[in-house]
Amino acid sequence: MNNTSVIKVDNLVKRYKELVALDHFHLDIREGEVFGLLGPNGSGKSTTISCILGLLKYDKGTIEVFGEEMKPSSYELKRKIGVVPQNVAVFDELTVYENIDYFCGLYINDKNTRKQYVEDALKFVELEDFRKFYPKKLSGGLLRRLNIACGIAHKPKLIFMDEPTVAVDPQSRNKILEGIQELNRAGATIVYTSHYMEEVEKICTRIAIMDTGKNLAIGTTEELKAMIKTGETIQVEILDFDEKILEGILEGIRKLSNVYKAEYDDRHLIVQYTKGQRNLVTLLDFLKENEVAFGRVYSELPTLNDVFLEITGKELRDKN
Amino acid sequence: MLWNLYRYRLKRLVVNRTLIFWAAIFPIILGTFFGLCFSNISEKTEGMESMKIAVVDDGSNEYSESVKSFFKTMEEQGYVDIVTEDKSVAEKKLIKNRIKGIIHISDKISLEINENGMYQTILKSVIESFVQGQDVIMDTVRRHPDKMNEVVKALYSETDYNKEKSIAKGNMDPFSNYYFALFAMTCLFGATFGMTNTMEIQANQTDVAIRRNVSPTRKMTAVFTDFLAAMTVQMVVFVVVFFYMNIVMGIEFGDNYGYIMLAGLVGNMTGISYGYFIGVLVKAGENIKNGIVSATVLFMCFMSGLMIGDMKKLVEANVPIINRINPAALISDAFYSICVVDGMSTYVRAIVTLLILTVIFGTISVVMLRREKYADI
Ligand SMILES: Nc1ncnc2c1ncn2[C@@H]1O[C@H](COP(=O)(O)OP(=O)(O)OP(=O)(O)O)[C@@H](O)[C@H]1O
Ligand SMILES: [Mg+2]
Repeated sequence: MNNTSVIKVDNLVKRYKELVALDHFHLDIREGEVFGLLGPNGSGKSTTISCILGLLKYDKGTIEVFGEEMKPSSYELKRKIGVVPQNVAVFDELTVYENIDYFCGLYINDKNTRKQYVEDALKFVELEDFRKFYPKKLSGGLLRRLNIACGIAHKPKLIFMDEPTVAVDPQSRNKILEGIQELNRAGATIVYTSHYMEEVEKICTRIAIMDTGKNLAIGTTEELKAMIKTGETIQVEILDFDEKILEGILEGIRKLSNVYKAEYDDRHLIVQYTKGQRNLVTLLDFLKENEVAFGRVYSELPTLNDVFLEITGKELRDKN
Repeated sequence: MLWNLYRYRLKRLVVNRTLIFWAAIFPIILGTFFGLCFSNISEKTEGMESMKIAVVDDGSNEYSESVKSFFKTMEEQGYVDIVTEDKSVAEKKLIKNRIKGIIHISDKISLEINENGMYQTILKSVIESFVQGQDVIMDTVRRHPDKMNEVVKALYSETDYNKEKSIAKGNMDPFSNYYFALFAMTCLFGATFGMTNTMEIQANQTDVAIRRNVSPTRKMTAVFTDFLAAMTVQMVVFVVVFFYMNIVMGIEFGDNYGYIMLAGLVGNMTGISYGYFIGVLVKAGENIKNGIVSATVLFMCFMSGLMIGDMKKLVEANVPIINRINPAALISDAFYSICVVDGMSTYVRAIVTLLILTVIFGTISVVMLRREKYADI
């Protein structure tokens, strides 16, 4: 990663009639990054991308791509960009091969080069055996891969991927994620939107958390996690103990160092820590001292969901 | 690159079943239906080929006998059927449409008709030729009555050449107006292709349009190749429909193929650009737009006689302006004027008006399509 700015968005305001979709949004993406835009449905991820691509009118703000203002007539700029739209965008009347060839042909004039590129793309998404298939005959996961192939066949330097893994089974999803990292290693800067935090956490070098059109926090996963109070969460299964002393026990736990929150729910003690080490040992010692019999113990590190929860006060998504 | 854009667009339009159904299959089905229906009617009303007329002589023309013998010869050759020579009987029959016209022989030779139609046009042009060639004919009648047959033939072949393509063939379909309206419909259904093209070039309409808009391919290049692809499909469709009607259904349209194809070409241009026009102006989903295109095209065709053959005449009598600007009426006019009568001026007027409409639809569409950013997607 270096410090050349690839995308710079400042004070972007976009309204759909009364609805403010982007509210003084800002973004700075550097060359070589896999940049994650993480936000729940309707937070403005797609709107951001459409503005950057020069498709949408916006009310205020500036957008620069590769240091230039992005205009609908910035053809040379567009040549360097690849887009994988949120919805599958292919022609049902053309085969897998023809679709890739068509969209690649919008960028690459030379026939031989294009032929090679289309083959590369087919290989990249592992659709070689499906080249003669029509999109209607492809499963959801394969269709998503075709959608990706159509956006990246011309080997762009900057790639926008808007939720490319929606409705894809875990295996295909992993393939896609690995593919994205491969593209990145080959030198492409990637802007990746998702509301799956695990994905973003796995592949993104930096992440912006957005909600209701605002960029709430930006940084690496570690930086984001460090921003919040929550550290690890420890759950302890309680086998046998006197309900009457519950409040006393909880009070005692809350007094232990680093404890931020302690609750009892459905025969489980849930203790959240701000940070620190040896938290588990201290907790178990405390329980032994107070003669509380316990079963299994789980420890979880904070997730981006915790980050999101703390920043916005709501869950990033329903658990699924 | 242009070739790539064009060729894939062509496939995109051709492989789509819905589009091809409306563009090609539907006109062929309708044409077959017309062909079968009308051939039955024609068989029932046999004798339609030799048209019934009356020849009324008031005796004031010194050559009246010669003139009459000319028409007698026509009757012998089966071109006409002289029903009566009595003036009052003839007039009654004319009012009841039992005969197509009365030829009055007085000091001049004139034609009295009750309504305007193909037969009347034919009759008129025969008489015009007769009057023009009167001296020669009269001379022949007087001096070489045996040459009369040849004169009649010569007159016919002359009218065939200059005026009436249909006369020589002698079997111009009386229902040709339906077929012309059908051709108009075939051309105008090109609008569905035009509409589809607008959907796939405006980023706020479809996802593939987003892809095309973010690419470095200029929008007008895409618009141009899209249009060309639609034109190609439509021309093939038109040629297929035309020759299907002409050869398979055996309907006579004359042999002026060059002008027929030109009318098809211009008609298709108008149809496709009309689709663009609806596509860029109507703010609605694709299905609604498709509905609007089909409904308006069918309405135009209805007004030009696709369902009720006399509709166009009715419009002509009441609101003639509609016939001057309704693309369907103009396209059938163009065909009528090259297939039935030799109305070069009507043909030219129809073609020019169609071109003007194309330019209007096209300009509005291009202006709207050039818009580069959208308020919402
Ligand atoms: N064409 C439009 N007209 C009106 N409002 C719109 C339009 N497109 C998006 N919006 C609204 O703008 C907001 C941002 O939408 P956007 O599609 O950018 O969200 P997103 O983060 O991409 O969501 P998702 O995860 O569902 O794709 C939402 O509240 C949405 O309802
Ligand atoms: Mg979105």
